[in-house]
Amino acid sequence: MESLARLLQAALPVAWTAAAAAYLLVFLRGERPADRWCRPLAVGAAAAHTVLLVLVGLSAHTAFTSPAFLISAVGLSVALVHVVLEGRVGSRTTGVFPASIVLVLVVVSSALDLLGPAPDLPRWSTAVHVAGAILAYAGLLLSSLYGTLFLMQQRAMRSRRFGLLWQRLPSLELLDQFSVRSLVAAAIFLTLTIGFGHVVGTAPDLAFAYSDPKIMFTNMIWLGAVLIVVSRRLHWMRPAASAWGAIVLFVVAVGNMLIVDSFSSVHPG
Amino acid sequence: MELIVAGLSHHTAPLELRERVALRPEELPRALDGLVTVGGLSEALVLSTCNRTEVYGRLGEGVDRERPMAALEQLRPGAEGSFRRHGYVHGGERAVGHLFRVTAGLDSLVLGEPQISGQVSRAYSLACSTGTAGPLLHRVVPRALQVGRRVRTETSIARGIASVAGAGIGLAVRAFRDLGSCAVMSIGAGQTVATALRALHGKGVRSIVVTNRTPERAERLAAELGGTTAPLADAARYAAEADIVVAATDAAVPLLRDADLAPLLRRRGARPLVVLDLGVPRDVDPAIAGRRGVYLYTLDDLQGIADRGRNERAADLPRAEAIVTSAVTEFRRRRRSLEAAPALRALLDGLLTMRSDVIEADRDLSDAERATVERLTGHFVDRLMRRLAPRLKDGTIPPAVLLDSLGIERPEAPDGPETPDRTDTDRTDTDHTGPDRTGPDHTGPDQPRETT
Repeated sequence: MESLARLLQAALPVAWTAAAAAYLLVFLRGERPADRWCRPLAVGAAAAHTVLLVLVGLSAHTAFTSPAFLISAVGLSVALVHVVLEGRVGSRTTGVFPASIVLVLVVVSSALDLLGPAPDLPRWSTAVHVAGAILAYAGLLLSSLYGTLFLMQQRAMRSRRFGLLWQRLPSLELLDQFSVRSLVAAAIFLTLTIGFGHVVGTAPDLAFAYSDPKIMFTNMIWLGAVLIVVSRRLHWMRPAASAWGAIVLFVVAVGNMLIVDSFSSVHPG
Repeated sequence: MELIVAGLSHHTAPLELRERVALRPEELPRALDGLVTVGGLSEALVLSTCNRTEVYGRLGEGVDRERPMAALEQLRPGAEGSFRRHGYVHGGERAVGHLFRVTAGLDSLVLGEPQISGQVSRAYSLACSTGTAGPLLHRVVPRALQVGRRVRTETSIARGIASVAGAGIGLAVRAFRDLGSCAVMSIGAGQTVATALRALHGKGVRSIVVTNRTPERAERLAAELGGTTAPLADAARYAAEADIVVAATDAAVPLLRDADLAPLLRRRGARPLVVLDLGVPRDVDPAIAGRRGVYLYTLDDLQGIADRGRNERAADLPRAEAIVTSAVTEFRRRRRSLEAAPALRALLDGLLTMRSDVIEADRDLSDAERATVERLTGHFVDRLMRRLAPRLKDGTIPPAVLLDSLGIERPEAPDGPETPDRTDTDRTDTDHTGPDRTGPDHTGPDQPRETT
């Protein structure tokens, strides 16, 4: 099992490079063979990625506490959310962006020894909490990515700069849909991760307080995501505003992960 | 066996004449029949679009090259002499090259436009179903379609946007996910608006509303496109309800004013509004561009996109031409190889017969000597054939000349009567318009914008 995991770990960067290259050809040149192959390549790479993480999870129950595993899992989550969205919307012109992000995360994860030992994981609810957080971060990342692309396309159209980006990026409506749907996914997984975080946090051996900066920031991100989704649903907010909102939420989420943890007793840095 | 093309195109004939001689789909079977019975063609295919009416085929033996032209003219009363004055006839490799270039979109009004390939394919299907396609067309037309696909795949000749109407659609496509869900309204019903609306209609837009100062003109255009009409005075209201607005009139002042549209825009959701102002002077108040969700473009913007697309396509023209040239060379090589096969067989048979005649004539040879001579002469004939075969296949040595000089009977042509092999194909061309005008120089600024 370990040899298969090692083989997949070595093959994964190659598989994601192939998928990202095919998407890049679709984006730059709109080539038909690449258009035919990019999605099967991405789906194949995501499947291999899933098998690898399952194998790692089976061989080491403590995988969720390994930074390499977490980074790889964020990559897989981005890939899965993208594959599902792409399948539902039917456009392949933006795949180069999430595929490149996944490739970077996979390479970093490989460099950090994915299959090495990791600290103990105290209880199963922590695993669900972490998995939900990973998927939520992936959703926020994709939402901010498509929000950024929306703003770039809108800027090109407003300033009449009809260059490569204008030619290759899909419609404003499509980018907006990708961004909002990713945010919906992020809101759902944030709800899950906050709920299980509560279960984990109220355990007698943990110091849990609602005033903890980590919890406050996480709740703010969740509230922001829900407000944007509801406002868009009720037509109270314009696409550009929600795109900016998604970018801000992602930046706050990254800050929450990298900085706020240092001041938190729940997630000590 | 030689392909011939006769006809006229946008390079050689004015629009009025092209419109007059263009054949409707229901007229094509009769035209094909006429070309075979009256035009002297043993095979025929008619390609008739708004930019060209051409017949491709094979001339019957001894038939004058002008006869297909005369047959085409007979199909249209009042078109007498027009093909001969404004048309062209190409034969041999030049006709093959012309068909390859046409199918690849290199001879089109808008360089690289994709519709022509489908039109050639449909013309070929019709020729097949009416029985006027024979061995030559079966070989050359599928090859032309292959070459067209290769040119489009391997070069940028069909990529990007190369017309003003295409630029309008390109802008709408960058705003909306699905044009089929878009409502379109026009301010004006003139030629410019009609061209843009037809292009959008072709993309399957949900609805079209035409407003115009002259209601009759609006009704005609709306009827053609399956749309409705509205009073010009209500233009702002309809514009606020539409997704795409196309405006082009000769009005001196803007007909769609910011003051009228702005209050109505508040009721719109997040859906963008794309306004294409193609009028000179402008028909839409430029202040509208500052409104949220509104994307306003003028004729200059669209022209800029189209010019850029045409330049990008033109930059790849040499590569596309090189593909066509190599395809023509390859086609010639294959054709000669195919045509040389019966001659090679006849040559081998003739040489073997000569050899056995000579050996049989010498009665003094013993059996052992006869076997040796047969073995040696067998090797000699084999070596001779190996040296001659490539030269016969590539046409360096005309098969007919070699066979005649050796006194070997010529075989029958593989598919139909053999015609003399021409090395200088230009001699077979008759261009009634003076110098060759079918070259690649059709990307200049005065190029009309509608596609074939």
